[in-house]
Amino acid sequence: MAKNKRNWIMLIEEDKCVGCFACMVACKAENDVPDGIFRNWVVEFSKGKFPNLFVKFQPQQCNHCDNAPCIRACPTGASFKREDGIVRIDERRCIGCKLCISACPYDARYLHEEKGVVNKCTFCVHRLDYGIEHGNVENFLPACVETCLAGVRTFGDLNDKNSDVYKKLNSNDYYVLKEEQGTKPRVFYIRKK
Amino acid sequence: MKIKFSDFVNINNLKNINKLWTGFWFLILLVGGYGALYAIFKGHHYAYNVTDKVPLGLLLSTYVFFVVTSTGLCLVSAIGHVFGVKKMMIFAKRSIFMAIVCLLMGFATIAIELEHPFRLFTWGIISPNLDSPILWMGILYSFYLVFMILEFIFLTIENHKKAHLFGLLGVISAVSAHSNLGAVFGYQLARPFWHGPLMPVYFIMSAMLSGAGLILIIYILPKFFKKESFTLEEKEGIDILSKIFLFLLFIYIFFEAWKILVGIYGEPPHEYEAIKAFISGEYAGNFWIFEVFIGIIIPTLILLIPKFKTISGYLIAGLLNLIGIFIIRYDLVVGGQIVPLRLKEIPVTIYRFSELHQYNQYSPSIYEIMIVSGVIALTIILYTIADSVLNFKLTEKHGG
Repeated sequence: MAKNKRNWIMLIEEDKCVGCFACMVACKAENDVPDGIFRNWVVEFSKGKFPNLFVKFQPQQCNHCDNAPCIRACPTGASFKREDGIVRIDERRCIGCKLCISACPYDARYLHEEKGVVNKCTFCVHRLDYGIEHGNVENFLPACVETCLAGVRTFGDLNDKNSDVYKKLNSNDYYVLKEEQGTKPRVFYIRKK
Repeated sequence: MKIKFSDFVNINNLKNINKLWTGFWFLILLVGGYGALYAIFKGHHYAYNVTDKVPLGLLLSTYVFFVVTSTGLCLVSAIGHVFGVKKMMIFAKRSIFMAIVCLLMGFATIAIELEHPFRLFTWGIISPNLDSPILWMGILYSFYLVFMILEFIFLTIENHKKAHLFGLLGVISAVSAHSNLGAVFGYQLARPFWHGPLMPVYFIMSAMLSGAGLILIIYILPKFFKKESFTLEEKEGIDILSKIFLFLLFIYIFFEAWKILVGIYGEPPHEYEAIKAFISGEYAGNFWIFEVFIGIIIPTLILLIPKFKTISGYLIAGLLNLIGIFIIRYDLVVGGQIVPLRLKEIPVTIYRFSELHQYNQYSPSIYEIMIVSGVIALTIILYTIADSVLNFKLTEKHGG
């Protein structure tokens, strides 16, 4: 199975989200994220009309788009797509022109001011690569996925027909954020049946 | 014909420079130099006010302003010495010289703005991304710089055949480089205020506008300082240039009016919010006072009303337009980023920042303003020195 190309995607079942924001905390603890900035965030909607109001949460982050505007904008190829679908930033190559920040329709990128390079969600690629190397990648999923108490996030390899993401994506209706931008995101939102 | 070096460079004239004028700008340059050193050694994030919401600020808009003006100088002066309108030939050398200075000042500004400018020369060559408009902008502006320098050299040694050739190459590279800069913004689907095929066209058109204005300034102002009078030939040239200037102002008004109408008609998402900020929101002062009134209306009136159509009238029109264009660049760059990308999706709270239903905020920091003032001062100093040291006159009739 080692030859199989990985195809990482994330599913988000937003209806399960309780709004604890532990994913945001876990991400900050795992990654070198500067003060005041989060790589992932939770949007809060209020729905309905008084007195029948309810609140809905929607976790958002970098969508690791297959047609990523940020990669196109980058002059030096510092932003690039890995074979497994993850959009990465090579910090050595980043000139800090910040055009990728303004090109991203999801507002997922930021400037790491100390380093002077652009950063964003990596799908915790350091954990994934470590897990693959040691043959137990299921124990090294992204920090936000591992920490979620409600099981909102499902992360896995779409090429693996036994994976949860494969099964869930095939048996549910889903949507992506800002589909009209044509970015082909890798983060899918499951619609409640 | 043998040309001596002393024919076009006379260092002795340096002592005739107005010391008060140069000294004043030199002080501003020192202030700007301090700002630049502070930003470089202390760190950009201490010096600049740009955020991850508004990543492109005053320094980038100033870069755009300078390279736009450079392109404009190249294109408008080419009407004379490349496309053969003889009466405009008098502007050739000054314009090309100033185009080179403006381009270099633009490069200086962007070098201070970028976090790691030198990586563009290493990784831009090792692993270039050919999809990136910034990469092409860099390549094409480099060609443009080389062609402009060669053109200036050949104009100086009065080799008009070669000057003509490099002038033409300069025009081609200017148009392609500069429309590419428009595409840097026009390609951005995520920002409807910028997105669209008209952006590159708009950049070329407005470049010619600021070029025409600046040529009027750099030609008339030094003569005012030296209290020289204008020959008939010069008056004719300035007259033609002022007509081109007026024509470009009309095109600009037409363009801007439709841009605004399309942006508010039917309230297209994001674009409408951005334009509303300019018409009646927090950028209304910038828009109505600087862009419309100072930059466009007054210059247009000066050029239309016969009473004001004098040399000093043209100078004032050029100066006001240049100030307006500077603000126009700033508003264009910042305006594309003020609408939060999640405006429609976040009715209650967003936990990334507490700004809700608000425009993204940006105002230049004192260091950004210092750096920009310094770059403008350096431009003025370089031109002042060049004006007294270099011989900007074409001695021989242009062969074309």
